[in-house]
Amino acid sequence: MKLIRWTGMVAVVCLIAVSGLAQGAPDKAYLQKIWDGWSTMQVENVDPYYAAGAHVFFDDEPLKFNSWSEYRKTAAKEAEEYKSWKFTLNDDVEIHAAGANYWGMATLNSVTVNKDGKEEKSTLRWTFVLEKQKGRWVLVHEHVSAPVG
Amino acid sequence: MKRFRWIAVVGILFMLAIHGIAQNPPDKAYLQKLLDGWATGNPDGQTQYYAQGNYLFFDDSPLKYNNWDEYRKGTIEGFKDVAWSKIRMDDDAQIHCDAPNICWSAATVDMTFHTKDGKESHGVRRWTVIFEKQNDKWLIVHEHMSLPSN
Repeated sequence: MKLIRWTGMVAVVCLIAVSGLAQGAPDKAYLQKIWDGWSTMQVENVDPYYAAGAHVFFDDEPLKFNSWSEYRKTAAKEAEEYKSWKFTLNDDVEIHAAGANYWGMATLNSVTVNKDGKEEKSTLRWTFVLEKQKGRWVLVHEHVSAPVG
Repeated sequence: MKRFRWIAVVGILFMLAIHGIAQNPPDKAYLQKLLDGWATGNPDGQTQYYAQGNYLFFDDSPLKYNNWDEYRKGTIEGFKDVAWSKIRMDDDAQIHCDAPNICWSAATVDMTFHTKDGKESHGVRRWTVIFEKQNDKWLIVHEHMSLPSN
């Protein structure tokens, strides 16, 4: 009887732990975490936020990436040309449920400093689609752009 | 009596047809139709495809539009000097319907604009669209059109 009680307690603790690890709906703080990852300029810090496989991503440039693995290679190379990146989401963030997924958009402030010390400030637009894979919200599509002019 | 039966049958078929049209989620042909509409240079004609209310749209410029009316006015201004344009969606278009009332699409789009003073500009843009079914019609509730930098 004691053994059954202990087994039951262990099972309950395990369930609580697992549900704690599984993420709730994505919120602004989670989205900012993605951009904080980019601000470290280390692509491995954003790996956990992007879905592996054939997913299309539109960044500032080039035209498009057909997978996260393509995207991260270019981003890592680009990071080598900079001293720092800082990205901050603005308050216009919107997150909408789409069945089991979420989509949303925001504008964000970008401050980059290149190796020559030149600082560039801009406001970017960001559209995203998040899908839950293995208990984590990952990007299956993203569109980042700067307005023309 | 026979006549009433026929009217009822035709009525039901008509309603089913309307229902069928309204229920179809967006496909590549529908996406191209939207772009063909833009190519006419008459943003007013595009009103039918966009949700009304507070919906955010990102176009080439400016930073953002907060609703369709702002977007429409901005694009009327943009098309002011355009004589004609051609907008063709590339073969990479993909459409995902994640919920019965939400679909999203991503594609690259070839655009050529000829201005009234004879200049031509060409660019390949990236196009992300979020559709929501509202009152049985798939409307755009968010759009992101952009040119890559450089």
